[in-house]
Amino acid sequence: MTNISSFGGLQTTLRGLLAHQRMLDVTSHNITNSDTEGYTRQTAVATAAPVLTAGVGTTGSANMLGQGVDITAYTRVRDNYLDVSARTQNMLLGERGQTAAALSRADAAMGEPTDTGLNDKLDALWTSFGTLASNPTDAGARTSVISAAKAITDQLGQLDANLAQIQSDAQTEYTQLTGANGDVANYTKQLAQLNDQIGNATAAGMQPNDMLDQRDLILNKLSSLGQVSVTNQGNGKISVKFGDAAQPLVDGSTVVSSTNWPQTLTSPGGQLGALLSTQTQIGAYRTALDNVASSLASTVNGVYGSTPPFFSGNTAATLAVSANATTLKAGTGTAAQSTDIAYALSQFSGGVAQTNYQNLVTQIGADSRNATAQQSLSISLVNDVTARQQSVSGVSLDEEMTNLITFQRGYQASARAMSTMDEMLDQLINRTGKVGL
Amino acid sequence: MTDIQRSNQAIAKTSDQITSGHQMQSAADDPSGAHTALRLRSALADTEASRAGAAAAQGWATQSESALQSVGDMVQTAHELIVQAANGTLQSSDRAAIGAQMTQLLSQMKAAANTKFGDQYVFSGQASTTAPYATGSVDTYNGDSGVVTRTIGPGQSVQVNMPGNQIFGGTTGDGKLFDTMRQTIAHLTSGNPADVTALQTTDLAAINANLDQVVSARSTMGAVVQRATLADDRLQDVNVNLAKQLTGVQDTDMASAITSLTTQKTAYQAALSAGANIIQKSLMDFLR
Repeated sequence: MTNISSFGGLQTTLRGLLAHQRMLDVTSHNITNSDTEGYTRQTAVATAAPVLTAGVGTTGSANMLGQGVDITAYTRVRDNYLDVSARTQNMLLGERGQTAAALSRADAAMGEPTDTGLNDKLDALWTSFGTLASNPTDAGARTSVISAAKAITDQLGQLDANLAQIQSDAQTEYTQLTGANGDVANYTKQLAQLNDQIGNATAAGMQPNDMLDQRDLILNKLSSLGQVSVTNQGNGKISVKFGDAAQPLVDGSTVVSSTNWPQTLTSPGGQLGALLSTQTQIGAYRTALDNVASSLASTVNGVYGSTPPFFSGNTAATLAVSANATTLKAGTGTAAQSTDIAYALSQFSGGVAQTNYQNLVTQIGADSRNATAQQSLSISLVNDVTARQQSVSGVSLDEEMTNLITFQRGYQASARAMSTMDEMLDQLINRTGKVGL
Repeated sequence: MTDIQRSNQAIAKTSDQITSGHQMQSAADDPSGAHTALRLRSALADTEASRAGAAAAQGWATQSESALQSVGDMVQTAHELIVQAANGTLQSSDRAAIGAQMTQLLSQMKAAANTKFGDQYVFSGQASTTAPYATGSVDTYNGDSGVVTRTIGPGQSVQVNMPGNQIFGGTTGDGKLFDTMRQTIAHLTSGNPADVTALQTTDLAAINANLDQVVSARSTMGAVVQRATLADDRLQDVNVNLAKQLTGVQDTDMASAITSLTTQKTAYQAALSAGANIIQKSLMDFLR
């Protein structure tokens, strides 16, 4: 028959003291990290200690006696589904925010409807032709026509240059982000190191909570740059695929191979995806602007004649005024009051070239407005998902305070139990069998 | 926090609308409104240009008309002189004196034919920088038969001139005014009895025909002036209408914008104070 040690109770209460100390430690860790970015609150998982099977009953049969409590793990309270959701919303926000910024720049560059826009300058050209038609012998009227035409070619060139600048700024930022020292490369290195450390810790049976938090934070930041998909490899390590790159960024391997970054991306989503797609979109706007220039040149030259032509060139950047004030002709005849050309050109208001331009302005305006609206929507969605994450993983100071009270009382209760054991033993050891002493 | 930022942005936007006076700062604020605004601006510019054309048309035609009015008076005088000279009882010296008067009248008619509008000759057809007639005994027409047109509306133009050779002529024997005058002067100064008969018959008939031509030309010019004036009035109405539409699309409605601004500022302040009041106390205030 196995007996239970008299001092066994002390060990049980000791376990209680230690466990509650650990619980208090975890609670203070939570409280001190309540403002840390990306921190997930932790809980100490207490399980009953392995039982002692021993006989205590009069029949001599064995029974299980509980041996107190053990802290078996410190776990993070994290919802994986919300993490995936958050990364998706971040990616969409990165993409839409970037698109909205680029398109709003394009819209501002067009500068309509104002007095300085191209539409008013086109109107000024038709008006100046009308003035020439009424005053064909006036040198001032001729000069006005040429200067109105030059104002148009200058503005077209300027608009094209502005749009080109937006494209090149986007490319520069893309190259910078995806370059050897860019954000993606840095995140990749950090992920590889963390993967390594977490893998080692997990292999040793530990739960590296804070490193897991750091890794999740980096994945979050990476997700706003592009599409991130994470595969758990089971030993604490993860494999991360970024955008539509052929190779994963990190593959659970200890050292990040030098061929994992940089890689080429076609449509990675997120901010990088938007940097690429807005370049294409603005390229389309530039083509439409070139179309305005070429239809202006061809329609005006069609009436004015082509030897010599009025406009030369057929893109927004190359359009130039060929005629000059001395050689400008108002009509097909040589007589002073021959004004049929000037008259025909004065009727071009609202014609093909001008309508093309007005449609382009409206298109850019509508696209920019849409992009801004989508960005607003994305911001709401990101806020929503973040709030839900916080409600699961965030530190609620009220809850931690309550836990402090609970664990403190638990500690006090265990200490009291230990004092009781102590008194009992004192009674047994010091005061038993002292009859008459 | 997001809502407070949103409030702030709304206030900034309304302030922009008030300070600039424009409802849209760029096409993105209202794409279809921007499109309408652009089209209206073009239409307005077109109407303004047409009004300038109508004014030019009025000017040219009015100048032609008043010149033709003087010429008509002169032709009337010539007619009376011919009637006077056709009297069989006159001496040849009397007829010669009338001939001298007619010569004077002819040079006055030439001066009227050389009327200018600004620095352009109105009766030279399209060759308006060349005087139609030289002073002196040569009556050749130096202009052309071209048509001078001016715009009086979108897609509408009107002829504002009368080429001089249609009224005054330029070739001997063409039966026009100068030819009639030369013939008459020759008949008056020759002293030939056969010419006296000519004065009574062919010359009188010719001057009557010329008078009809001048009167008819003058009324044509008068009609052009009328048409240009009516077109200008109509364009003025169209202008006012377009300007009103443009203001509706483009300009800020100050009263409603200022009311919105006041409402937004109140909402913003309310959001700020609500945010400040939300959590004053926490559990930590209650635990020792």
